[in-house]
Formats: sequence, C-alpha cells, structure tokens
Amino acid sequence: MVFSSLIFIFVFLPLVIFAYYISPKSLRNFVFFISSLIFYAWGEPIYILIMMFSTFFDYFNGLLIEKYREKKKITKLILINSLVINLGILVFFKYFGFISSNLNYLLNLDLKTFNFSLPLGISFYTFQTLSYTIDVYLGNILPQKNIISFGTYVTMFPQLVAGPIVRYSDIAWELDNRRENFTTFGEGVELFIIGLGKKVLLANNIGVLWNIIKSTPIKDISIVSAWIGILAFTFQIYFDFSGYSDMAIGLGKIFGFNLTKNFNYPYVSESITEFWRRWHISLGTWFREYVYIPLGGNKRGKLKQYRNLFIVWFLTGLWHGANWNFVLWGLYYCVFLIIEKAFLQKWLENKPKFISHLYVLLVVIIGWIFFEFENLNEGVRFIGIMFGFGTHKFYNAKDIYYLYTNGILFTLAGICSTPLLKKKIDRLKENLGQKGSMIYSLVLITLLFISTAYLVNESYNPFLYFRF
Amino acid sequence: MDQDRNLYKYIVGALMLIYIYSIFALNVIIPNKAFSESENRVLEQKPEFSIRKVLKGRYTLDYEKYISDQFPFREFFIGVKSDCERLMGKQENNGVYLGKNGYLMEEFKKPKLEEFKRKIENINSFADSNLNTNTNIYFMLVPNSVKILEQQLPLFAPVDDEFVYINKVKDSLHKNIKFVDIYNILNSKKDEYIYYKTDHHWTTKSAFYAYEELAKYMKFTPYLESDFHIKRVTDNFYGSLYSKSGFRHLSPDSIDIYIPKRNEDYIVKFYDKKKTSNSIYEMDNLNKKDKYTIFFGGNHPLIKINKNISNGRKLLVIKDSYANNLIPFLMGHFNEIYVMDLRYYNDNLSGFLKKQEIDDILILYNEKSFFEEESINKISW
Repeated sequence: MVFSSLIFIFVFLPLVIFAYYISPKSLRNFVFFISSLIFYAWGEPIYILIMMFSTFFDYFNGLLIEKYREKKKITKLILINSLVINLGILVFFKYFGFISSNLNYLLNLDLKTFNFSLPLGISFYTFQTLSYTIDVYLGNILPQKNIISFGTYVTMFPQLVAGPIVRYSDIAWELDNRRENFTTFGEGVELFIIGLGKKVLLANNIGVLWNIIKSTPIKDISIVSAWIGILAFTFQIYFDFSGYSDMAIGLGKIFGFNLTKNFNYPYVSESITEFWRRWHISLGTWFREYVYIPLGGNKRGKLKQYRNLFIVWFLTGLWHGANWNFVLWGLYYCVFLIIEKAFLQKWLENKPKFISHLYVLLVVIIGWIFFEFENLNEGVRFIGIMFGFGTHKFYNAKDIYYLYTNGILFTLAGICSTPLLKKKIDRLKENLGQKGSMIYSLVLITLLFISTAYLVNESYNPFLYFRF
Repeated sequence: MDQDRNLYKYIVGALMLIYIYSIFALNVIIPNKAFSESENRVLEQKPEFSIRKVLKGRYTLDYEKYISDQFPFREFFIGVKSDCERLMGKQENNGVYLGKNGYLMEEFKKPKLEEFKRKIENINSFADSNLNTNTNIYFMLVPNSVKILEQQLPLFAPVDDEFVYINKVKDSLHKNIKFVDIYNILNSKKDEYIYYKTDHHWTTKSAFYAYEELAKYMKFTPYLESDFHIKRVTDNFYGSLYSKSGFRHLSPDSIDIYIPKRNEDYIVKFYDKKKTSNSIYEMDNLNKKDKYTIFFGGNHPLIKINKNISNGRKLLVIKDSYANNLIPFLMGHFNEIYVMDLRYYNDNLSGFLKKQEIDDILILYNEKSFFEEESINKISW
C-alpha cells in the first residue's frame, strides 16, 4: 500500500486511527504492530516472512549481546553473525541478479541471473535492524526486552516503505513512553497533507512532462526539451521523495512518534557537502555513523579519508539500486565532495552566492541523469544534447507548448523547493488568531481535497474505445 | 498565547478526521454502482475473499480497484481535477485537448511502422483475392477533428499530422481499391458544424458532404440536401470526449438526422439481436448518455438493410462507427446494404462474400480508430 492512495487515506487510516485510539495505552503498540503487518502484507503477502524473520532475529541478537556483555569474543561473534545474515538477505534479494550478471560477464561464467522482485522496504528495515544491533553491541543503547515494542520499531508502517531510516536510539524512549496528544496529532495531519500535496500535485504532474520527453526518440529531442525534461525530473524526484518523507513523519506524529527529519530544502544548498546534509538526511547519517566513522572517518590522514569517502559513496550509490549507474552516481558525488574538501569550498566562500547556487544545481541536475538513465550511453548522449553537442535543434514548437502549459507548475515547484513559503507561513503562524487558524486549516483541508480529486482521477479509466 | 498558536492544529486535526470518516462512512452506506455511463465500463465490485487470491496478491489489487471505482462523488472529483488543471494552464487532460470555442479534440499519435504496414498488406491482399470478381472496392478514411479543425487546437499542441498518414495510405493501396478522398471537401467546410464539440464523431452534415463526394466515385446521382427534412433530435448531447477529458463548463452538442422527403420503406435486420425493424433510428437512446447511438442503436457485427429499389445492387460496408450516420444516405441507392463491423464480426469474410453476390464494397474508417485499432486486419480472413 502506498500513502498516496485512496485505500490508504480513506480505508486503512481511519480504521487504524480508530483501533489505535480506542485501545488502552498498554495495547497500542500491539495494535500498531498488527496494523503495520497488514500494511506490509497488503502488497507483499509472502515477503512479510522475511521481515518477520529479521525482526525476531535481531530481537534475539540484542538480548544475546546483553547476556554475554562481559564476553567480548562472544558478543563480537553475535554481531558478525547478525551483519552477515542481515546483509546476506539484502544482497540476495536486491543484488543477486546484478552480481551474477557481472560475474558472468567478467569471468565468462554461466550463473543464473534470476532477478527476484525486491521485497518492499527491505533496504530500509535492514538498515534499521542493523543500526539496532550495532548500537547494542557498542553499548550505546539497552536492548529492547519487549518483542512487541521491538516489532513496532522495525515494522512501523509510516516509515516502512521509504524511510526515513529511524535509528533505534532516536525512538527508543517513545516506543514505550510516548504521549499522544491533539497538538502532535494536528501537526502530524498538517505534515501529512503537505507531503501528500507535494507527491500528488507536484511530483506526479511534473513527472508526466518528464515521461513525455523521456519517451521521445532521442534524435528528436531539442536542447530546450532536454533542459525542460531534466528540470521536470529534478523537481519530480525531490517532491516525490520528500513528500513521501513528510507523509511518513506526519503519520508518525499522528500516532505520537517523532521521526527524524529527512529533507531540508536541498536545492538551496551552496555546496555539494551541504546538499548531502539536506538530502535524505537519515541515509547520510546512517552511512556516516555505521560506515564512515568506523572506518576511521577523517581521523587517519587524507589518504585514508579519501578511501573512506570512496567506500561510503560507492555503497550509497549501490544502495539506491542494483545497477552500475547508481554506483556511478554515488561516486560522481564523491568526486565533488573531495574537490570541495580540497579547495573548492574555500574558493566559493568569497564568491557571490549565486555562483555557489548555480554550481550546486548544475552538479545535482546532471547527477540526476546518471540516476535516471540506467544505460550510461543514453545518459551521456542526453547530457550532450543539453550542452549543444550533435545536430539537435535548439527548440521545437512543442517546447513552447510544454512551457506555457506547465509554467505555473514549474513556478510552484520552484517556490516550494525553497524555504520561502514555509518561512512566510511560520511567521504567520506566530500570530494566527482564531480567524487565521480557521483559514489556515481550511487551506490545508482544501489541499487534501484537491489531492483526493487527483487520486480519484488516477483510477478514472474511460473505456470508450469500442465505441469508435 | 500558546493556546492560540496551537488552535489551528486542533482545527485541522478535527477537520481531517471528519473528512476521512465521512468518506469512509459514505463508502459503506452508498450502494455499489454496477456501471459507469460516462466511462462506459463495468465498475469493480467488492472482491470475494479467499486465501489463494490473497497470496497471489490478486485480492488486494481488486480491492483497491473496488475502492476507487466505487468512490463517493467520483464524477464530481473528476470535475474538480480537470478544473484545477485548467486553472494551472493545462490544455489537455487524459489525452484530450481543450481547444478554442469549446472544441474537445482527441490527440493523434502516429502509428508504428510495422503496424501500418501490416494493415495495408491485409487490405491489399483482400483486394487481390477479389481481383477476379466484378466487385468494386472503395476505401474512405475520414480525418478527425484534430486535423480538420487544427486551428482550434491550443497553440503548438504536439499532435502528429493526420494528413500525412491519409496520403500514406492513399499511396500504398492496391490499384483495385478506389480511395475516396474527402479530405479537401471537409477541409473546405471547416467553418461549418462538421464535428461534434464534445464527442469524437463527425456530424451528420459532415457525413452528407462525404456522401456527395462518394457519389462521384461510385457514379450515382446523390440526393440534394433539399431532398431531406433535417430534424434536430437533441441539443443536449455530451459525448465521449466530454467524459474522457473530464473538462466541465462546456456547451452541449446537437444531433441532426436527415429524413428523406420521398416516401421510403425498408427493413433492417440486426443479426446479433435476431430482430428486424423498420427504422434505423433508435430514438430511445436519446435518453441515454451516448446519444450518437441513435444511429442503428450503436454498433453491431452485421446488419442488413433491404430496400425496394429495382437496381438490384448490393453494397457491403466494412466500417467503424463513423459510418453509422453516413449509411442512411446510401440507402436510397442500393437494393441491399450489408453493414459489417469487424470488431464484432467473427466469421470469415471470404466465406461471407462467396455466399453473397456483392457488387460494391465500401471500407469506411475514421483515422484514429483505423490506426489505433487492430480489427481491420481481420479483413483478410
């Protein structure tokens, strides 16, 4: 099930809110756990077994580590066991086809390259359970004794499918002691609606434009089309992903959880380093905490630091998908991060701000091409068109059509990519008064209402064909 | 103060709960609909629960379809969506352009080369197999409003050119097929009401012009417009494009029928319904959504129209629904007309032709369905 669907908003959510809030506090985790399992099983009736296994497996690992706390060797073994099994499952389901086809190519083997359908959310919950076991091992947190509470953490439906990746330590206290109240509930609703609007009204609509341009035969794409297209994708992926995160955090609040922020207006960054502090924050944090720092971080000299960065960004790329283009995309960022650390950041500091912005946007937009085109040749060709290589027209008549029919959408997307609107609203919120509160609430509900209309239209499927 | 700052949170929380629970309740209370007239399809019903279906993922999929198909105020929400699109400056919704003067026009996408070739080959091989008979074969390909009325399209709308493909067809047809070119005549009449604004068909007037043109190829003398009473049967027709696009706030179309002033008796035989009638008009359908089905009550696999004309000529029309309002004009010139719709006719055509001694065959399609629809390939069966 996805959040941006009629069934989630108008069937699942009302039922869960009802069941959750009529239950006594002591049963709420249980209700939430069961709801999450239903949410997951809705789309993945079989793979739920893997998630259940992960849950139990790491629950016991946590307890075992605690039990053998004094015996370093044993705890280490438990940790390694946990890493091997968890990552093993992830690798098997997500990367089996990728690895075997590469081995076949390199070594001339004939391994089966069967691709499993990817179990929903496996990249997210594996990272969560890993963070738990590692943190228990390091003594940062106490293990969770209650299997229901632990299950609630791993399977928590708000962030199960697309993050944010919640570290156990961030939420440990709330798992057993959270106090739901109407204020957080309202904040949750606000965030959920904003996230839904980003996804349904901005991302989906601007995505249509990118799809049209992407499916144009590459020889017919004009320079202007290429820019319009990749700009549309740039907005699409941001509003899609950050909208989804907002919905997740909002849902968390509806049930009394405070999940970590995942996006902080990445497109206004003034350096790539900053961009990655603002984009998919929970993933960046995870890799820093559990890969970069354990490898030594920046504490062991420049060369080791670069090696560590390479490893982190190789893995970050690979995490996004089992294909070389994602690895390339990760390493592409690695290069800019290293350059920035070496000198670029200093150099940019005394330049006008717009140069920094321009540089970041250009790097990010071109980055999305590597991300979006699985075929590297096509990606490179597309970049070529953008910069006027080849014999592509500067623009077509239809580019004008795309621009004037999507102008408002682009403008809205542009504004919403910056904190301008949010700052304005936050200032207004300081002093809303009764009337203002009413108006702001109605604006939000209208947003929900319009999103509903767009969701209904998705299913609108006139079968007029046989009447011709 | 703090109370005040949190006030909106209470309100929005409460409003959201009211909203989702109301829809939830309406979902339960409102009885399920079986059929959507505007989408012209059967709506999903509540799926039956079975473990097997659940494991296959089938149950949940069906359930989602069920929820969206039966969503309360569905039509209303679709109108809201298209209104928003209009506000945002969009000129197109679900593949339909909102043109000037309230014209809705469906986009045209050029056909794939292989499919184009296959269709032409099948038609040509059909012509080949009829070489030794004295049957005349005519082919009329009707351009759609998206081409003839292209000046009404939104500026720079990215549609492919139907004219190019009319010519391609014309140039690649077998020499025994007479291509009835009506492009110029329709183009010269484009200021008249020749296409419905909210439906994908042409108007009866348009069909009349095509009939006059066809007469030149078939060499008969057409009746004049003054030989008919032109009767307006409805001026409240919201057609298929209105449904498909979801665009609202448009004025409806009107439908005219041309009734010969001369006294005409005929019998229409509908093979699928196993019934005969003395009228080609299904007047009851004016109460339905799709009022264009007033002509013959819609499409049928095979119809025979018998007329008391002494010339003894037999015509076979192989067609889509664009023919439905043109055939009435042909009735005055043939003793027997068979109307065959290959989308529904599943016997083989050569068998049919052997039994009947057909003098003339007219293949009549509109461009969009000709290129997007596969059934014309059955012509070589």
